[in-house]
Amino acid sequence: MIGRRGRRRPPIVALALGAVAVALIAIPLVGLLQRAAWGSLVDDLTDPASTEALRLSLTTSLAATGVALVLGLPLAWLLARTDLPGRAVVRALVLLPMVLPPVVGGVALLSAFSLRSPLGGWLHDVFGLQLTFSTAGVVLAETFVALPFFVITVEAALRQADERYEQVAATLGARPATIFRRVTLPAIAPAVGAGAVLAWARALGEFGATVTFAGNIAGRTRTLPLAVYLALESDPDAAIALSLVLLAVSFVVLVALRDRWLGRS
Amino acid sequence: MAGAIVSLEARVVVPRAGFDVDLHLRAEPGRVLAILGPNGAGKTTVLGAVAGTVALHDGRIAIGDRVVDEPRAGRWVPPAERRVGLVPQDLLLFPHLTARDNVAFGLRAAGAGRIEARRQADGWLERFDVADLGDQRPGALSGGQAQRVALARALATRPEVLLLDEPLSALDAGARRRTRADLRRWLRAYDGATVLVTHDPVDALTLADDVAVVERGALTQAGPIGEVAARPRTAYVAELLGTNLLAGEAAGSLVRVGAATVVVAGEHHGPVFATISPAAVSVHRSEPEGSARNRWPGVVADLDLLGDRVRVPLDGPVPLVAEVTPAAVHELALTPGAEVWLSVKATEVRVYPR
Amino acid sequence: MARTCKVLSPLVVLALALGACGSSSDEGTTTTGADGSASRSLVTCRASGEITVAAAASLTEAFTTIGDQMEAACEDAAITFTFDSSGKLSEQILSGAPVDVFASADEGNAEKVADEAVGAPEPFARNQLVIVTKPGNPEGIASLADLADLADAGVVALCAEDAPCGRFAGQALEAASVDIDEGRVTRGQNAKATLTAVTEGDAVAGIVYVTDARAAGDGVEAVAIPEDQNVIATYPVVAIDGPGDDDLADAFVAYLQTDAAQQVLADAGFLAPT
Repeated sequence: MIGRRGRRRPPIVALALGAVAVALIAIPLVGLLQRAAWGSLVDDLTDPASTEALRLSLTTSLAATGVALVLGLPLAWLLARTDLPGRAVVRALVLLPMVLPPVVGGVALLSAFSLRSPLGGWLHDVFGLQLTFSTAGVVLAETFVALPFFVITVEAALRQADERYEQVAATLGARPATIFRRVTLPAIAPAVGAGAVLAWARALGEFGATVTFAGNIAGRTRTLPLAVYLALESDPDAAIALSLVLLAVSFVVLVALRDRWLGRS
Repeated sequence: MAGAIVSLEARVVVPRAGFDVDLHLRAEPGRVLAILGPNGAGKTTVLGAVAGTVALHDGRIAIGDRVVDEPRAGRWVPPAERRVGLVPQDLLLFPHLTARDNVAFGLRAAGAGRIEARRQADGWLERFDVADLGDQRPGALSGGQAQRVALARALATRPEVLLLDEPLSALDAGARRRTRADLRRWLRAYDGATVLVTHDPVDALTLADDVAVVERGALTQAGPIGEVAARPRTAYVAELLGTNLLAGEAAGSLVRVGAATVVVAGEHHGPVFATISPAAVSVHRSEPEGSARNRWPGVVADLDLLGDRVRVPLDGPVPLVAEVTPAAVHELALTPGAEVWLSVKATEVRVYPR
Repeated sequence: MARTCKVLSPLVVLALALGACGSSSDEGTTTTGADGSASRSLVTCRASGEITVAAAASLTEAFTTIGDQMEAACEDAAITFTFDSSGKLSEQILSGAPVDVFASADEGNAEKVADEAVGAPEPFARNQLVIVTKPGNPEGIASLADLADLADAGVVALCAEDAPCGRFAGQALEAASVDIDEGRVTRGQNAKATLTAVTEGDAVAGIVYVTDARAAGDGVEAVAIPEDQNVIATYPVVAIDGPGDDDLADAFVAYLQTDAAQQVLADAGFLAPT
């Protein structure tokens, strides 16, 4: 093509398959948009039950992301940078929630933390802490499913990062904590961001583990996906409206963060 | 510029795939020691051991009277406390920090405040003629500029030992020439001990005072640079210097090299090395007559154009490399496989004890 | 129309009434059951019929047994079940889910799918609500009123308000003038999920169907709700215009009225339809 030299035209096969991939995801979402009752949208969304579920979803998913960040960063570092025995086993273990059906994850959490389990009973007797049917339980369930996404992303980045920068920093007199903060962390910052976004997205859409472990209590554990599931029966229009909110919030965040963390073009 | 005027003494034993690094080095303050050797000889391992990024298997590393690694004594000092400045081969400037903050990094780690560290860093950048690049990220620097910033970063912490790994290998030919001259000046100004790793004999000759030749993890020759250049003791060093090295047994003015005998000037006895400059090797189509005392048949193995000269490796009783003009190649019809005669005057053979 | 009809051994206490070829085929034979009753034990099935039955979650155990009976009797008949809350199922059917029979836990949802239905809904069982607690009833719950006065962290599991069991529970609580703070109510998507919150989770008590409580066995303790407060749920079944075999669907609907099927339902705790 004249005037566009140097810009290779993408192969037709790639274009076609890429378009199918986009369609696969876009078409159902367009279907949702087309089915939405736009007339009653405002009413559906300003309904206190909706705003409450949205607020709960945002706070719990952000809290879960925070927990994943605080716990996942050291774990990823240990997995990538040390030769602790049993790392392979630990890595596989940490990734298990990705393949476990979320409902089973919920049952697993129940087995461990319900009041009748030894650990859950102990937490309740000693600290008066009950995770089941609590907002903390929602955060726990969301963290359980979201943490692997963060760890796997950050660990991969740590493996790729050039350790020699850290060695140079050490010869310059920097202590390990300083090296991590000023050399390692800046090098893996994009991956930390991407991992956090992935974990947050996973936590935001969490349903199975949450409903099984934390139940479905209005204002306490009824996050947006649970509210959507309940509303599907009684008021599909409201359910779709709620889903649109979930989609809109996620879409805005993902687009806004894309350039920054998910790799610039 | 150094924190203290001390020497470095290192006996390094580190196992590697294929061979063990096992050698003993000493670097004096105010002098530059070049570790010269082929790629994969273990040179960088030695630097790593001194810097603390590679742990010794055995041996001992002492900076002045501070022992920083001695496995048998259970002593190991982490890199951060060794006061060793390192300029790695590809410099490894922190990509997310400006040139100024790269230099300030070590100062900050040593406890300086941000403003003070930056002020001092600017001073170092000025010393290395890159004061105007303080705000640039490493990605925006040329190879020569980055080299200067890396050197400034290493020296800003006032190390007692400075380590340079192939300092010029990342630069293109033009930048290498310019930077070599500057580097020589800066290294002269540094009064601590400097260890420089290189595989380029020109770097060693221009930048170093002393040289340690390392081949397959072992030290094969060491000493002041002029001495080593004058008396190569391994085929590798001889090849680097572009000379012919023969090992033989001397008896008077005769040196037996394998099955052949080389006539030399003067009297020598016992095991000796003999070097013959390629320019001193004459090539003839037929057995020459004349004053040359050494005459051997040979077969042309290869032809290698080098500037305005052609290097001709010759197989024969005494394998030698001759250096002739392109015109001579034509006149003598030298092609690989051609049978020729070569001659060397006795006075062109330099002999020294093995 | 060539129909393969098969006569079952009278020993098999199984009766398929008005089956695919029963009423219209000359080959149909009437036999007398082992118990001597002259029930319509004519068994007629068309080969390779397939249907999908959508049924209220509370029917899980009973229908699974009934399905096994029919499949054993009808060669090549394949019956697939999907169990969920009746509200969810009716929504799915209206969205075009490939369903051939719908058994609802309430009449409202059965009527909701009228446009997709073949014929009118026909009651085949009734159910009642019951309070379930942890085994041994540690909280000492004796009535609906006790559910409102639980200790601090006590959570009560109820069905979603739009599922029949949730609506009935609401009616029962209203009849008993009991108001449970919604902040301590966890809503199960259907009766089974609600029961699970008590058996597996930390819900102190729940309100489910008698049949669910019975299915849970020792996992829960049932506390009866007095007649004047309780709600009787009528379960209707209706054939749906689905992709499966129409005759087999009709046969399934009809089979629910037979003594054999009623026995299975009764064993599960259901009451006979009025």
